[in-house]
Amino acid sequence: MTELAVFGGKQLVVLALIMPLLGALLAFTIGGRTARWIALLTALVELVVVVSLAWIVVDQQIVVEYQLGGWEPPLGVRLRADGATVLVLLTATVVMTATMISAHADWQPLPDQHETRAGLVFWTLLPALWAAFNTVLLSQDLFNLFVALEILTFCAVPLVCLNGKAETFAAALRYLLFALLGSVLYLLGAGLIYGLWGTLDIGLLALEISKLNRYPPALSLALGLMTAGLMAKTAIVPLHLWLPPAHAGAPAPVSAILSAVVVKAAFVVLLRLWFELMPGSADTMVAQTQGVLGGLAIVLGGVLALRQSRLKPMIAYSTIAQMGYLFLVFPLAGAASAWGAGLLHLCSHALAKAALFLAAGQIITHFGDDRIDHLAGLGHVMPLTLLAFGVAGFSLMGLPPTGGFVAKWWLLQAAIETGHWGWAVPILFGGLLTAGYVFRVLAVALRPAATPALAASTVPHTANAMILLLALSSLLLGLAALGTGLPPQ
Amino acid sequence: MTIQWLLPVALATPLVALLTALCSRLRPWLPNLLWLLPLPALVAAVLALHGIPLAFTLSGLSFALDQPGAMLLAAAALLWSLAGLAVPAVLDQPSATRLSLWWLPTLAGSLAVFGAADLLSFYLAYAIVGMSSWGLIGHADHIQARHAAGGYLIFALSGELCVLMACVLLAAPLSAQTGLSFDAVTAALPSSPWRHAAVGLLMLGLGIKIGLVPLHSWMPLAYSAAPPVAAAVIAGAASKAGIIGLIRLLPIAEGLMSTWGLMLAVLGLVTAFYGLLIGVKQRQPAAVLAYSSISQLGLTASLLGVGLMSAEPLSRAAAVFYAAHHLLVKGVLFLALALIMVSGARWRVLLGVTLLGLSLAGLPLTAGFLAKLGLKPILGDGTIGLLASLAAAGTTLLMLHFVRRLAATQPVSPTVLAPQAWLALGLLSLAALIVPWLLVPLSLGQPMRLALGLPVDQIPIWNVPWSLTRWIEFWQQLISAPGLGKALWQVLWPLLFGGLIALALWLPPLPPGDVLLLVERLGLRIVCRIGEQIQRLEHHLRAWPVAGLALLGLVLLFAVMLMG
Repeated sequence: MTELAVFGGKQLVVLALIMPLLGALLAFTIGGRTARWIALLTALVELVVVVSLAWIVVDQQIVVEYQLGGWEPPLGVRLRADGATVLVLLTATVVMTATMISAHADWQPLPDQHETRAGLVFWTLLPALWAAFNTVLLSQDLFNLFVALEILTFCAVPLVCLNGKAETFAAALRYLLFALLGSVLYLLGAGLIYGLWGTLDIGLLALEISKLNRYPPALSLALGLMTAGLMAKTAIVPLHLWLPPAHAGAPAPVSAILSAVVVKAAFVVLLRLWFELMPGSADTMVAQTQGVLGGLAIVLGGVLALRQSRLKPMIAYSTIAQMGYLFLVFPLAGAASAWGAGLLHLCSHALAKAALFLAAGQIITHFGDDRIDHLAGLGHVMPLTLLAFGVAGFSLMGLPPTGGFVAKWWLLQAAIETGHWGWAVPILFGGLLTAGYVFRVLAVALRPAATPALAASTVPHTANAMILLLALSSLLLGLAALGTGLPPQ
Repeated sequence: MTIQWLLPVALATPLVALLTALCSRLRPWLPNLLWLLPLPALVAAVLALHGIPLAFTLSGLSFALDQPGAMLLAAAALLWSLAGLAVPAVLDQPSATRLSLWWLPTLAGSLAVFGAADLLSFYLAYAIVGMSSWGLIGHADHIQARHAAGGYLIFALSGELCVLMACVLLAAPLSAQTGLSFDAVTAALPSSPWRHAAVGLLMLGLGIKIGLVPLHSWMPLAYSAAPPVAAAVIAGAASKAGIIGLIRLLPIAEGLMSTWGLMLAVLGLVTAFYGLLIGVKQRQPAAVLAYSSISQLGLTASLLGVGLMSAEPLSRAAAVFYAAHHLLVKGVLFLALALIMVSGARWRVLLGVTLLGLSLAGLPLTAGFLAKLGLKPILGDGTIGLLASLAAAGTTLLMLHFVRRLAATQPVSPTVLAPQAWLALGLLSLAALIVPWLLVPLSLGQPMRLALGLPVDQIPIWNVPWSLTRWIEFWQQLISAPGLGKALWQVLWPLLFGGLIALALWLPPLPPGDVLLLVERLGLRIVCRIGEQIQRLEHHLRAWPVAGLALLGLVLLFAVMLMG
């Protein structure tokens, strides 16, 4: 591939990877009360880097590529940023930055303490996790992707059990074990592919695969292993056993990152496999199976979310359902709008879900109760938080003009375009279920409190502002997508 | 013909069985034999319908099976047999034996009345069935039964006296040469000087039997006091003695009695609606059925009244068909009540009962559709036709009310019934749904053919026998019948109307926002149940072995799919 790499773009791609990594290392070595400020500073710098990169890619309509150390594949490792990548990169950056800012006051050491364990872990591992996620987005090499996914998992697991409670520890262990299982399968598949062609670069492999009339058994097995492994990491039904306890049990900022960013990483790799490595696989049985599991996840996740009595498990199950939507991209890939719909859904869900979890965190901290039936009076005490919760909820539901709406619209369009009308059923039904659990919360929260003695809001303004920012970004994303008119081809 | 012995044997069998009751050793066996005794009559009726003439005369009493008689006899024999099968199951041994002693003469009279071919034999059979019914009604040993039986006896005796007097008047103009055959009776009647007295008395006497308002009040009392299994045969078979009497003795083909015809038609319609109105206010299932019987028999009477008014011979065929259908259905409904009163309500039985009940209102595809269809050419599309349709709507309502009351029936101590009882109910239900469909190609099916716009024989004759080719031909014609759509709608709208009224009456008091709140109440419960199940399923899915196996399965599945 001969590409028009701009001078500034290459540096920015590398910076986007290195900045968070640097932040993590610095925060860990310096530690103490400074760790927090290092992480926050890293976030701000990274924000500038990613926005610049996105500006270059979108404004100049180019794909930025960089070969590490100047080595060409198959020997070297290639980094690549196209329009879709920078959109996800930007979304993740916004989520990360907003989460960090809203959590900046958490885990403060007491006056006589040097640092808190939880604080150090959070401010160190979060930038590291971020670096791993960016690597997943930018890598073009199957092994590099594996390494990045592993780092992501190893950063996420300690974050789950940040509060040190026994049940979150169990949840973290469960998460670790299942994620490792997925990794092992993925690695096996990657090994088989390396054995076939001696390279793991996606571009080169795609060339080789396009020459094949029919897949050799080793490739079939490899793809099966990798797909299943990655699906385990995205917690698609029936491989979702680890997600509800982990996402519901973790501290709210961590839950926000896990649901908004971490589960998306494996999905991005899946997209790489099925859209870049083997384009035109929409009508294969595997794609149909993925769609069926996605539909199942939409229904199962939605129903289970409706049946939760607490806020955070409800939001966690909602993630399972929303991941289901993403998997509908595979059987609908034949339509032009499917790819764009998937991308948009991924981003708008990330923003909205982060807002929901952060709002839930504030509700638990400042309202003192996250049982949904006990939320009466919330609208009076924390109106801004509830507003953000509502806007994010509307995006999940797919109310216009949110990003969730446009994504669903495009998905439905794809279903009609490909003639597979059946996929419209889970898409629409899932929206109904989502509306059910969002309105259930809103209905109770807007009721006057049983005991009017509740104090007015003590939620920090920065936190409220960040949650609102996330929710509104999800809405603005939809407006922007509508502004572009048609889904990207 | 060598088969001629069959009819006397068929009619005599119950009486012979009654003789065995004299022997105390054999008596306890009687209840178990009840189902066997009507079978010869059934065979005779089937043969007669097939075109084999059966007749015999014994010391001036002549019996013969023509099509109307054979059809009613077949239906009655079926009901008696299957109800007899259920008797030992629903009653204890001594009680069943006691009942059998009245069961047998009633059976004998009830069968013979359809085979009677002259005035005398008719009256004889009519009197036997009327009198011995008393024993069945008063079977139970409590004050209500005694009261009801006493009331019945007064009414029945008065009625029989009227009929007797009418028979005498009818026979008066006849000579020894002409004999007392029905044809001779009706032929001589218009010119008889006593014709008004005769017809008046006849209608009075038979009117008591079929419960024409205001002579009906004995019926609900009697049917609720009798053991339901006995009520099944009384309401089903025995009451048809009145109908066959009207069919045989009214000079329908001759005309000239239009005033009486009008009176009968009006009285019948009044009765039909009266029965419906009072019936829906009843709480006892047996009383509901009794009022339904009053209503149905009233409608049949008004059918014959209109026939008499307009000298329409087809009205006889329609009435026979209608009566035969009612005979079977009412038998099923009472039998179901009998079984449920012992074993408790079961939804399968209730479902069947609903179907049969709606058959009475003319539900398409059921036999009742045919019966209702037969009314159309006689009653026409005018006021009377409309009233009959409204009566069908009322019947829908009444039958749904019956099912509701039946569902609420609680036996004092539920006991398990012998399977033969359920077998009897099932077979009888099937017969009620199917038998009329089998019989429609007979000459008796002329009114239905007329209603469907199918070709009819020029002169309605009773002796076009049943044959398979004619039956197949009927079906072929039916499917492409020009009047089928109209007929379906004519029969269907009263059902829908009645169903709507039932719905409106029985909806619980509704808050504003009706449907939404109903959905909340009913739907939410269902949805929650589904949600519970899904939650349980998800809990299993989250078990390690399941998730692990699923992961492994997906690997293999994808690999195989990609290889394929």
